[in-house]
Amino acid sequence: MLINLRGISKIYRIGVETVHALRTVDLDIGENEFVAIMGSSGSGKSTLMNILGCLDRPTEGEYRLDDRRTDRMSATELALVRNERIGFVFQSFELLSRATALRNVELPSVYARGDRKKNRRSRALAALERVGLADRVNHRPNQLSGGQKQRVAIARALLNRPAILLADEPTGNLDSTTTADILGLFNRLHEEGQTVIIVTHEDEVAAHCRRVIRLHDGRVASDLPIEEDPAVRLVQRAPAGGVA
Amino acid sequence: MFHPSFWIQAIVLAFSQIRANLGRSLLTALGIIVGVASVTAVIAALVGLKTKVLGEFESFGANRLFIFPDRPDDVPKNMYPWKDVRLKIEEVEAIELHCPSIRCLTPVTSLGMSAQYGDRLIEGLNVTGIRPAWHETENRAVLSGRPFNSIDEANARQVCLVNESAIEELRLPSEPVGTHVLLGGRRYLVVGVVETIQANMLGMNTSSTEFFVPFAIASRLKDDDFFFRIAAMIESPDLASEAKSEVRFVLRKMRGLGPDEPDTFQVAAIDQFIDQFKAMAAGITAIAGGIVGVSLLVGGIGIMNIMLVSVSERTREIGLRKAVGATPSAILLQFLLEAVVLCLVGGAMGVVVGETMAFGLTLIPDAGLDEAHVPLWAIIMSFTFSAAVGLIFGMFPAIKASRLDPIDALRHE
Repeated sequence: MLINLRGISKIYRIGVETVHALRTVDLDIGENEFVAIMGSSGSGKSTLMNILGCLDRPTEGEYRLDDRRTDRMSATELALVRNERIGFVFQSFELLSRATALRNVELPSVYARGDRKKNRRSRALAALERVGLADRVNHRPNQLSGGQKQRVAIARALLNRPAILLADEPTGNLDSTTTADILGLFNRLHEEGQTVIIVTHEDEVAAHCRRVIRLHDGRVASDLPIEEDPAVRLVQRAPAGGVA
Repeated sequence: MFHPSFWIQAIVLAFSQIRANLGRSLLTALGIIVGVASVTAVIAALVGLKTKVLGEFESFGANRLFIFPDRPDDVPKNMYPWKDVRLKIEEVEAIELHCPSIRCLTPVTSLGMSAQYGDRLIEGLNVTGIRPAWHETENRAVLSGRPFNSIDEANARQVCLVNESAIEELRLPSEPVGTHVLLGGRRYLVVGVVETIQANMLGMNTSSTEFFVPFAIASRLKDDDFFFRIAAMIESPDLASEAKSEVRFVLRKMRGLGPDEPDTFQVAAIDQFIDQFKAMAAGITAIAGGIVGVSLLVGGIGIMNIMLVSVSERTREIGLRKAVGATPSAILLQFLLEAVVLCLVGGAMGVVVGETMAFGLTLIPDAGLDEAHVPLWAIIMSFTFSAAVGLIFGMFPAIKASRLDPIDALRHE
């Protein structure tokens, strides 16, 4: 199993108050899955995403990524795991404004080691081509549209051939047409074999995935294939002209 | 630890960061620029002064020795009245006899006199009493006529030497040998002409009008307890310390000084003046170093401040870099490099300004700084200090950046 969570809890202490962001979550995600993690604000979905992305460590429990325990890794080891195994896509793109698309895509290789340092340029060009931006290589973010920016960000996430593509509200800043484009791109990447996890609160976005995990109050409330998730089915049945 | 390409990228990034905030960066680096410029200019001035002064000492003669009366410090003045401290002719003879390291010597004394030739009269002229050995100790041969000889001295003949400046001043004939001048109302036969020396010793111009008479005459014109000093020549420059101890031994013995009593005279060789000058130069360097240290400190605080601003402005960027795999040490290094590069750019500009100032110094007339230049070691030192300031004051902001939590950093507005 690619991702294996057992009894994951995350407890924050804010002053005298303790907040249980996650309560003994068990979760398995296999290779080439296309998963939506959903939940309202405060449900723990951001915390779960941070732990899945190795940006954060659980207070309790075991997290295996590629059969490697990551829950007790040092900050440096986690950085390496993020570099090699995880590709992040953020709501607000997080591109370096003064760098060209190519430079932005190359960024993960700056911090890579071994083979991932080599052929930086050709790999970045290939990644840009994969997201359909071969003709925007030397554009800076301010010369790109929102959708193009997000494509650059996806190309950056793909550079080191990550095990997981982890997207946090990737369409939150995009209009409906562009949203459809980007979701289409995720779908295509999934079909090419990429494991994709999208964190979202929109059923319309989740409708493009194959599996929906709903969190509530730090627990997994439901974990169903797309066809069985009631809310998503409702959206799918909505008339054309909607988001899909 | 990191791949060379990482370093290249980090340095490129540091430069692009400086370029992106050019005005801000330059203002911040101003402290470093001023500090480095002042240190290079001061060093350039000192180097110029040193070259000049040491050159003069050198031409002055490394094998010369001076003996003069001196009251010891730290004791009541009345314990050693000048009358007892002054040199005596018997002492001159004793030194001549008992100091094998000394080749030759002459007592030297100065008299204030009037000089007259025809209807031209100069009052208050400096007339120096010397023995024939003076030509050797001072390395001054005659240009025309003859030098003083032992008969002049032994018979206290009324003869004199003049320098070219004296010929001009007193309007003597251009070949004055054989003419008579009145010094202090007595007739002296001019027997020779010596060159006017153009020596600029520590700002004192000694190219003055000079008359020389035999020491025997000068001593006769003065009271019994008149003052003089001794100019001596050592057999060779490396015998300076031997010669000094020989003279000290002879003089202490003649003066009956007990083992606990201090010297009542000074024996000085040129190396002593050189040492004194070097000590003075070192003192100036230390003071200048302190001033520069303060300005580098101020500059460093400016660097720290701007780096803290930079870390705070780029919090999201730091978060992103961490998310794509930057380790804490990679972030630390990147910000540290940025501070160092900023300081080095400031240092380079400071060196350029300092060089310009040093060039300006050489253009000041009569300042004696025409040899001023910035030596290579000062440039290397400037860059080293700049880099050190960057490292020291960049450390805190860099540590702050490296410790940022990637989640918080990415959420930062």
